[in-house]
Amino acid sequence: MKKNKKGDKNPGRYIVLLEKGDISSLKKVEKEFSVSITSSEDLSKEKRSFNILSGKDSIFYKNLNMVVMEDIEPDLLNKSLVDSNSPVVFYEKDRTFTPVSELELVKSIRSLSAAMQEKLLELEEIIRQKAEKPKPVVEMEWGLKAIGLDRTQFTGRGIDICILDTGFDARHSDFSNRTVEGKSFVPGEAWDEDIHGHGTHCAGVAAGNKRLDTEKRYGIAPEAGLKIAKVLSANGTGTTSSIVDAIDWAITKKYRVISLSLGSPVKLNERPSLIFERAGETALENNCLVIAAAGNDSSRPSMPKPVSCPANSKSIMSVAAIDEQLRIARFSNGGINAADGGEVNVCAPGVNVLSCYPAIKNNYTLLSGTSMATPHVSGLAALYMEAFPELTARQIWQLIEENAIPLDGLSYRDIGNGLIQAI
Amino acid sequence: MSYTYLGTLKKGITYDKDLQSYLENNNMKVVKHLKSLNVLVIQSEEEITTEDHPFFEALEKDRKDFSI
Repeated sequence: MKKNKKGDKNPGRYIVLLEKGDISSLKKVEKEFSVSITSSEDLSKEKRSFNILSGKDSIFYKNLNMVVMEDIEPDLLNKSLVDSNSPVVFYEKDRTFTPVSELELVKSIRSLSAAMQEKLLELEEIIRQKAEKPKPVVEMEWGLKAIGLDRTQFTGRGIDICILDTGFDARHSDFSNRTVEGKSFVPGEAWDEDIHGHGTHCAGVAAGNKRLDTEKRYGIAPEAGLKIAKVLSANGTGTTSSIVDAIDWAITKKYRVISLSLGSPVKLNERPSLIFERAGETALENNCLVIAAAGNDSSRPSMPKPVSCPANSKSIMSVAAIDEQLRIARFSNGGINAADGGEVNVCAPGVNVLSCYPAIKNNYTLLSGTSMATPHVSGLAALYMEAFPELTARQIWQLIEENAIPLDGLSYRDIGNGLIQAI
Repeated sequence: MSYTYLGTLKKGITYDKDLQSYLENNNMKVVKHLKSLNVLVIQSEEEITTEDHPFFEALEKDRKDFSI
């Protein structure tokens, strides 16, 4: 039998279990511990167990093979445990057992049950409150859902986005509670009027919120600062000088994002403009990210065309367009001239995109183009900048690319790092 | 015929009175100096190149074909 022990270092009364309860074993125990053992069979009214133990003798309980010994050194017991000739296989110090008070037990249960009742009431209240105030489900346009905007807690707060376009309808009711600033770089045309409508639409996607009538959300960074630079005339055209002038102005104003939903087609193997390269690079050095539309010159799948100017500059982020089925838009330009820049960096929703439109043109409309994909990225950049205020514009660009997801069947040439995703 | 150019000044070159005089003497009128970019918007009566005026890193004609 394997020997075990349980006890302490103080002398006292011990219960000792023997391997066998024969005479030889009892004799050995008497010798080892210098005790005299009385069998429990010999106990009587006159010879009670406590009389024996108080006399420092031991009692042997034959049926249990146990000896109760008084005033024994635990060291001796330990020694006998490791001695293979000793009959002792286990010992344990005598314990004091006290009767459980039923009354105390009932009190204790009652106390615990009261505490439990209290916790249950708290839990009930929390569940009730949750049920009374369900999290509002915000309906969103398909493009916002595609970029995971329903997951984000960021709104672009504290980040200024500058839209370089056809101006902005400052009287639009969706922006009645917003402060919008701007400047016109088109002689004779005001920045806060948008006869064309394209600029208002782009501004709505980047920094709008939701429709007043249906509450459906179409804007990405509703708390961003919205800045307008009118660089395209009412007929939707513009010049390098007005665009570069506006970029210079936006950098001076320390705006963080410049959104260019515009472009000029380039030929095969045409090199990027050094003027725009300087503009993009200077913006990045000033912690400002310039984002531009890849262009709409393609007729896919047979005729993809190269990324337009200025999106083809290495220092300007280039955006392609996809549709609701996450396919490349048939018009979206690709990285055909990628050797000198001219590649696509990311893609974003750009087909049947709903946004605000000038009041005189029915307030809202669906438009398609890389022009619509671009403000998705611009609004998203504002969210990233809010989320990571310590990062530079260059790092934000990198992070947006890293978080973009590739799309099945679409190549890097057409969608760059993939579909942008909210942070 | 008049041309509008955008001229990117080389790093270290600043637009000052000397440069202004030089440009005027060569029939170039500075319409605007974009300070943060160090770019000049210039009107010239004739076509100009960086070879003729090497303080420009690049000279590009103002494109008028940007659109939505």
